[in-house]
Amino acid sequence: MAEVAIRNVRKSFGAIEVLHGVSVDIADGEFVVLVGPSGCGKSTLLRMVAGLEKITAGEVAIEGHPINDLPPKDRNIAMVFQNYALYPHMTVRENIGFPLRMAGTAPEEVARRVERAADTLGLKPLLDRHPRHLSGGQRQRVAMGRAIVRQPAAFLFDEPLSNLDAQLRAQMRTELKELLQTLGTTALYVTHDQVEAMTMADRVVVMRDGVIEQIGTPLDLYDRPVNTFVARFIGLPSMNLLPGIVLAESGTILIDDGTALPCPAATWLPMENIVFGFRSETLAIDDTEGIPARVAVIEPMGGQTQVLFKFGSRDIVGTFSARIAVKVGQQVRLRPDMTLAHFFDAASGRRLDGGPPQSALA
Amino acid sequence: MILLQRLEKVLLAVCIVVVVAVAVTPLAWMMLTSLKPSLIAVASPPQILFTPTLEHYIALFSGGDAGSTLGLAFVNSIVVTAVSMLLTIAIACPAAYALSRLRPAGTASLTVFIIGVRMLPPIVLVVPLFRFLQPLGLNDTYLALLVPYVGLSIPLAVWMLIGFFQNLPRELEEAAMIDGCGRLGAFWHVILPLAAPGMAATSIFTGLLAWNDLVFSLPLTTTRAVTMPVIAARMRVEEGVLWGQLGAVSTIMIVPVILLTFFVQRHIVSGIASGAVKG
Repeated sequence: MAEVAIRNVRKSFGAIEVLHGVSVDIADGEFVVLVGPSGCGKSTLLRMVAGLEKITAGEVAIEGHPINDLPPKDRNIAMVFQNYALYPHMTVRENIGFPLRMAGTAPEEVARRVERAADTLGLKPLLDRHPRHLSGGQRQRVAMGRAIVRQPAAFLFDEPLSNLDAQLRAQMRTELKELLQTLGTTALYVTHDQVEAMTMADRVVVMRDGVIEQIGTPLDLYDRPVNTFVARFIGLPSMNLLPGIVLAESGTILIDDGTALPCPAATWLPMENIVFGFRSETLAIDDTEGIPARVAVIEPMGGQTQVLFKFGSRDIVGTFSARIAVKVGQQVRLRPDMTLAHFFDAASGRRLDGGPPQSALA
Repeated sequence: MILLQRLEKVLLAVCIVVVVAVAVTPLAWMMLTSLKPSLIAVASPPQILFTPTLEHYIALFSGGDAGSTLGLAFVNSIVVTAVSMLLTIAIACPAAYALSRLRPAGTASLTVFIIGVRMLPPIVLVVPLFRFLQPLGLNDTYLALLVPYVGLSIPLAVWMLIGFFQNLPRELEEAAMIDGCGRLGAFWHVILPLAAPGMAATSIFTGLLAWNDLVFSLPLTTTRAVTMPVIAARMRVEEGVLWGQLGAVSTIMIVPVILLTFFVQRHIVSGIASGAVKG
């Protein structure tokens, strides 16, 4: 167990810089998820911590010791790959025991620890099989086994669940979280799936184009996204975002079609042109007031119903816990709870808050 | 529809029979010749029915000097072929791995240069090699044969193995390096075992080159290092060609090749079937 410090790390491939100075401090035992669209540099960052990519500038330290120049084998980390990277010519037992054997551990000790890891992961009946005879979920567990067996300072995960089908992924997500809670080992986890990030992480690092957009707990990101990118990226369904013009005198926000939505924040918002956002669950259907919209798609999910509305050419998504009585094609009025709305600068996309500017978050 | 399917099957069977016949007929002919009495060995039209005789084999093995030479040549061929295969793999594997993974500067031109060596007609090398080996007293030794066999095999072996290494997922060695190996350890523990089918396939080419070669073995060996093809060539005597004995030598030569093919083929097939390179 150890803390991992990433300080102003940059990465260039030739003349192209893909990471532009990234800093994250991961506390001992913390589970941090790096999330972002493909190409944002999250995997590159993870591979630099692993020692599989050279660090162009900046520093990575584990337990306070800089590890920039250490080869991967001396970093005391374990990694789980997207395609599991199990050694095809070795049995499950040999796969899990491989790091121990490479470390020169005594055979009896290897056997004991492999058994224990296999026990933890429910792999005991499979120990003598080869990876090609395992299902995706089983391979995933073996990869986990190979990582936990050596009790490393930190775990690194590179999209470990993305090769699994949806149901198995949800199940493994829970198992993995439980396992990591039990082990209490520091973990850095890369995914492009914001649901994984939200559900598993102690803290989430949202990245885009080689920079960190925001670091925070899952609910921080959900409740206070620092810009429209994070607002759109975190949460499922995405936050609804609409452009509007602030009319401070009347305390309303004017939207596309000229409808004025009453909004308490209109009095302090520092500019006219804004984008305001509201989560799908803060939306209510009204007969007389609100955004005029047409019901386009109804997606019943049992416990709740998700409805896609069309407001002009814009999409608005609402989720309703009650089974609502609307029909496709019906014209309705939508009333977002404006006291829970988020406001962003229309030009820069930055979050606008009441009171002093929160520059520390940006 | 069923008729059409059946017709398809029959046609397929006919094709298979034709292909097998084309492959097997020369071998069968050769073996039959080795068993025919000398008088009818080259009779035209060929005589299908005859009383088989072992006279050519007996003549080969009992022919005093010739007999002991045959035994020596067989051992020589085995040794030279085996050592060529081992040396080629030992040299080509690390080279191919380096070219496929580390991609040092100039990799592209280097690989083209390597395959360029392969385009050299072997006969071009014979005279210089002879002149080079003679003052060193290396003519008529294993080394005289190993140098050209290994030298000519490496280019093709490197090329074939580059393909195999490139097909192995990078994550496997990355996992190995994180699991406590250096690059060499990852190569040894993970990459080499997985490249075994590739090495087997590559070995066949080297093995066949060394086993069948006459271009180098005829001029570069005389007594101590003679190989089987040289013995076969010696079946052409002043009185003509000893067809029966030539057939016998060839039949003896073919046995290890068939054994090797069976052995190595199993490895290739098992390697492919296991999905060793699937993630």
